[in-house]
Amino acid sequence: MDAVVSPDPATKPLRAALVGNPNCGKTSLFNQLTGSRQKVANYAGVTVERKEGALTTPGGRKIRLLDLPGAYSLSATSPDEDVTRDVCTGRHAVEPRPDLIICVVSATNLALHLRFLLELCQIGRPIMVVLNMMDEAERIGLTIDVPGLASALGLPVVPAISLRRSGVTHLLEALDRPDPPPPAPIPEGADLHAEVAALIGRYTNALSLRGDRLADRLDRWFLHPVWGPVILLVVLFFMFQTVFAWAQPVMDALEAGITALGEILLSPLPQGLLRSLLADGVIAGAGTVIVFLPQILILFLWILALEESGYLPRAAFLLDRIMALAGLSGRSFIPLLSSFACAIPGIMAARTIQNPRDRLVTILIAPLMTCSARLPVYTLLIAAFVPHRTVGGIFGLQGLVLFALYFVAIVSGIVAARLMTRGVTSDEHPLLLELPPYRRPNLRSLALGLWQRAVMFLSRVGTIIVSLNVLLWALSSFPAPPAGATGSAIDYSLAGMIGHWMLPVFAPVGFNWQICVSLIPGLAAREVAVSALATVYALGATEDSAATQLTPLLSAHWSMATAFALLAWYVYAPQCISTLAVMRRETRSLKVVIGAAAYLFGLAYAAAFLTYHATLALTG
Amino acid sequence: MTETLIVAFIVLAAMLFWLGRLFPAGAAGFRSRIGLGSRVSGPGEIRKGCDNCRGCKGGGCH
Repeated sequence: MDAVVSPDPATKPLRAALVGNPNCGKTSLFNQLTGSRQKVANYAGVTVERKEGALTTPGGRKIRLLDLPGAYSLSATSPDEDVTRDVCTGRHAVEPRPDLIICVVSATNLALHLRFLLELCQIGRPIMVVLNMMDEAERIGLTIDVPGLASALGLPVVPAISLRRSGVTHLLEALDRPDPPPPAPIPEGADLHAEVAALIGRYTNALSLRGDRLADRLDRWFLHPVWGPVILLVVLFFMFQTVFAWAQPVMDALEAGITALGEILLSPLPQGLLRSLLADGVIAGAGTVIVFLPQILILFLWILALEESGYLPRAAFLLDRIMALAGLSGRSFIPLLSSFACAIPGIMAARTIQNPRDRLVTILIAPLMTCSARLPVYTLLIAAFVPHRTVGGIFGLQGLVLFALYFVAIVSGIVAARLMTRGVTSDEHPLLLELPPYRRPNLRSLALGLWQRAVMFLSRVGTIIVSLNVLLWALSSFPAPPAGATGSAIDYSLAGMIGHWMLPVFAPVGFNWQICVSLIPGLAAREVAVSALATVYALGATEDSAATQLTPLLSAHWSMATAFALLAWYVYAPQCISTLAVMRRETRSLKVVIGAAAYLFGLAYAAAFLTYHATLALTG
Repeated sequence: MTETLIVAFIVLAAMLFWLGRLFPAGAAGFRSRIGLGSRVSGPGEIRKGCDNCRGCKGGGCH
């Protein structure tokens, strides 16, 4: 076991798979070893499909590394666990059986994680054990006799701290050694729980530890039947207040910067096609969306911090009763929560739900959760139509309206789920949730997460949004108006004609033809609707500055009823083709996708209609 | 004239970008026909197993 493998570039790379219980740090380890940046969080069920990366050890050994979804046993009960079982047992349709299984075990939860390890010993593949989170074990005073445990298991056991680069040095060294032989299988009928208890008693001081007192104290509040939901509500409320309050100064600075940059870029250009394309297409389109970056980052700062802290699974536990009202279990909470960032990972995370009916209903209501792409639309309209004042001397009215929009979407999701599950009782297992330890969010990891979000957002602006706005500019500029035309040039363009054709359908909900035009590119990504409105209004305006002054332009041209109707439309409309495509892939049913699009568009239209007429009646 | 050509080029580029996104298979075939064959995957590349969707860019969707 000590001889180092000689590097031979001609040899086939070793196929190794990271396997273990959920939330034991497999993806952190994968990221650390392969240099990738897959999503990690402090709760179970983040990884729902296999991921693949490559690494070369210091000794030159090439390894193809698989990161598999977490599993509690090889008796899979959900689609994500199926993947792990099939790959480990060589039954996967595409993935060959791994040469080496790297079983990741959390040092702080040996009682649960060693049981799965013993089960893995039965499949007859070479296994290496990674004892992860050794820093946390040390923090709570847990000591482990690593050589003793390795000798008892008959497997190489490597301590690791997957969050630190230096924490995987021993693992890399171990990977340079020849692979261990497959372990001797545990005798048939052996009591795995008793085996684990014996190992823990002999090689650790876990039994003499009194547990994490701080976690117990916090749980007493956070999981309290009354105070728990109150705290959750306060956290969410504060989160939406800060989205407006903290972002405004940076947004103002960004807006001023974009206006100044536009002037510098446009001043040498004479009036003409190129100037119009840059001013009304590129600057208007990209500029109006980029200013929302601070708000999006503040929202993600909260989401990332809550993810890392270990609070989110507690929220899932609290909401189990509310989920039951919707005919679902708390297991649907994490997929629905992921949908607040983007419905696509949320729909994919529904793979952790065992019951097919619950999984389908979760997928169908995931688009109702307010994804971050809706934020630019919401904040633009709120800033234009909701006065910037406080309520009760403490709460910002704009933040309150934003909170209400999120709240309405959640309630609508619960009601929709209730209607879909009515009359059918769920046979989903009761919610058994592993509560992770509380962790102080790591600043570096938060900064990295925000940086990734910012890069993703800006690359979306630079590609999807700018290109769509260029096309929209072309559609809004050609054909040119006929000689002697009296109206605005855009009225005679292709976009103008399309907008006017759509108008009879959308006029009853208060939309004008400009909104109709913006809904089409908005199908590619919701926030494009904002940049599309900027382009359409900029082309109809006489000054370049109109491009970056969409907010006052809207408040001057639209009624409050129209703005609120558009807000209501965006709460429900499934205006993101990618979401529908993922829904099709996950359900493998076109019927489901058509049904989902029909019910969501129907809801959007009805909500916009009611909102428009109710606001008209109230405002006269 | 030059201004019109530049504008036409930018609009054409945007159109090709969206045709490539909407019809990836057709776009790949077209690229290989004109000698711009598909990029060979490097050894360290991550594949998420989402039917070759590259939208994630190494972390989360979009």
